[in-house]
Amino acid sequence: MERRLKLVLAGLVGAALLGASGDAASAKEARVGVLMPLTGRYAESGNGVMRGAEMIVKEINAKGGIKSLGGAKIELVVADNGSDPTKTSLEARRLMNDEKVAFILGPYSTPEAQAFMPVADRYEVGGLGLQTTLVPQTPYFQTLSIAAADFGKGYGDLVKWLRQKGAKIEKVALTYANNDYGQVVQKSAVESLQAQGIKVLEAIPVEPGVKDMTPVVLRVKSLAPDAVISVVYFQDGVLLHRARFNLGYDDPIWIGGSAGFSDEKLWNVLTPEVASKTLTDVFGFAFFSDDANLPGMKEAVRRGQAAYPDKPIEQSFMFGAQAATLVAAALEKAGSTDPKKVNAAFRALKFPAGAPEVMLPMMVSGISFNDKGLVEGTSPLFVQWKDGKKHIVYPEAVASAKAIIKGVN
Amino acid sequence: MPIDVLLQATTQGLLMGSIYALVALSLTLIFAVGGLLNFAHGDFMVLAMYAAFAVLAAVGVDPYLLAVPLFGLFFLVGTGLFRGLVRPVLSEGLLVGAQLTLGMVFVLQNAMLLIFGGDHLSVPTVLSNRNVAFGTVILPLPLLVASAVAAILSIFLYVLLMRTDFGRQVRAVTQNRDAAALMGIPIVRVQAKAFGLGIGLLGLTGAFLVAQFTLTPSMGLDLTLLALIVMVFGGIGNFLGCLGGGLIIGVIEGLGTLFFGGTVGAMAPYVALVLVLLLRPHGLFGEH
Repeated sequence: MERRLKLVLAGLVGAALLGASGDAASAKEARVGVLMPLTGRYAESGNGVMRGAEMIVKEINAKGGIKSLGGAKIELVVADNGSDPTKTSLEARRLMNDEKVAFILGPYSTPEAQAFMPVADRYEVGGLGLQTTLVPQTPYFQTLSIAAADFGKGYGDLVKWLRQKGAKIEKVALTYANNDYGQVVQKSAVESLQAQGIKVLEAIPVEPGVKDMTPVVLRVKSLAPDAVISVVYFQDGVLLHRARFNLGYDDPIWIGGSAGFSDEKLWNVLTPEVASKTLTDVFGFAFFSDDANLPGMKEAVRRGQAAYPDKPIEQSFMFGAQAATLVAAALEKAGSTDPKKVNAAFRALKFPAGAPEVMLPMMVSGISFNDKGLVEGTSPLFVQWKDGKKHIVYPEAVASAKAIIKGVN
Repeated sequence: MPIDVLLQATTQGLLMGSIYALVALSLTLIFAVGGLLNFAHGDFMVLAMYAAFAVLAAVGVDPYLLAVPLFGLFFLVGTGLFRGLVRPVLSEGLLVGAQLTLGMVFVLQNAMLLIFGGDHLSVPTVLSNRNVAFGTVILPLPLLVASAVAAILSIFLYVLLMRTDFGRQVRAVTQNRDAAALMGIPIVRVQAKAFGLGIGLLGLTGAFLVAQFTLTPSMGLDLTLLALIVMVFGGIGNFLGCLGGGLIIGVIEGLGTLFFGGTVGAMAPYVALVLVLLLRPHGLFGEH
């Protein structure tokens, strides 16, 4: 009788453990989705993110996994969205519904995030956007990026600073990617410039995927601005700089971002001959530059260089490393693989400025998320290129080099 | 608008248009011969570009020097594909053939992704970053060379199809297969040669256009769509029309952007295509 009672009790305990799927004691692994553009337009960046995330996950797993989950190893379930919003939606649904992931690292871009958010809201699984510059519309989405409206303000602040330094900027032209991101950045930049009394000559929309930027540069040239602000993606940026090089048009102070002006691979893809002529005196909006004085970043760069000696440790890589670090911290904090708990834990993460977990220099105040899912207290960086290396020139507080300003120095 | 800017935009539009024509020529050839819409058209061209990149990276041979070898290699691949895959499927109908080429898109894209990765690549040639100036107008040399190749190929294909025995055989097969067979024309051999020529030309054009693009494995379908628009715009089966259509689209796009911004510039070729289809359903230079 006593033996039978023990068996029943053991059965009950076993059933309770099995039933509590997602709780700490039963977790063997924590499945985290990675929804990235590994092919298509943003593949360059998506693959960089992937490398950064994989490095962090390998390190955490090697150190014993997620302690609060009994040493559960993080398993990355990778999905390629092909840089396509429709595929993002389908793959997000698969990761949440079929793969039962606890959280999703991704998607990468704003259009992808727009497709992702309704799915996250429906399945109540959290996601972390990388270069998603919209304000999240669901409690199940947050972003590492600065919101698009703050991009525009960042451009305006730089122009203000350049004028304080003696640059003659009275007339500005803008070119922008004609999507939600580009439109919001353009609008807020125009507002910021007009508030300074600067004349905005024209804001020229450019369709992402354009095959030649020469007509756009020619239109800018016909406007004869003192400065130009270009909101472009990587590939459009390459075309823009090639067109500037071919036309020999280098009169205005050119400001732009982000990947099309500051991605680490830009110099080599353009070839040094074109890059040295087109990038050395432009100002590139950046989230990352490895010359910043930030302990967490320096350490992650060092580990990245050891893990991937033949690959550049650039912005996308650092975003991947930062994102994976935060997802792992959220799993640790949640002590569960229940997506709702992980998402709540993610939103509640707090790291002070200079903490080893803070790897992106733009997070000057440390990391904490506001109620909209945006990182609080971020500040854009502006870099200039010299001999294939980026140097932060603004804000001066974190600058590693003196800015080259046309007409001033 | 300053006249020098207008001249530059028009010239650039013509140069880009010739590139569009170059992309479209072999699609026109394959469609004209067998009625097959090759959705993998752009992907074969991208494959040629990656092949040029691989050879450049391995042994340092300039992509322009690879144009002829790539033509030969892709011609063999094309004829082999026709005999092994396309011909058996085509007997089931053109729609099945189109599905086959769609399947090829995924196979080619994923193969390139596996071999070369998803990162953007730029492939320099001996002419990269070189320009010539005529007065105030600047002409990038790679675009100028591509334009010359587009013009030469258009004329070559026109002469090949209209003035040679092979061309007459191709046209006979296109118009009436049964009658052509009764006249002793080896149908399969002619079709295989024509398909091989179409794919071979993609090898050649890939080598000439590689400097113009930043390579990614998934860019092929975009090129196919572009080729399709040019082909329909210029008149299906008309190589000189293809060249003319490409040039017009390039100029419309360039001037549309210059005068009205990038959104109108991107939209303008499609508006022009709709107008052409409404007014001349066989294309601007097409015949009934």
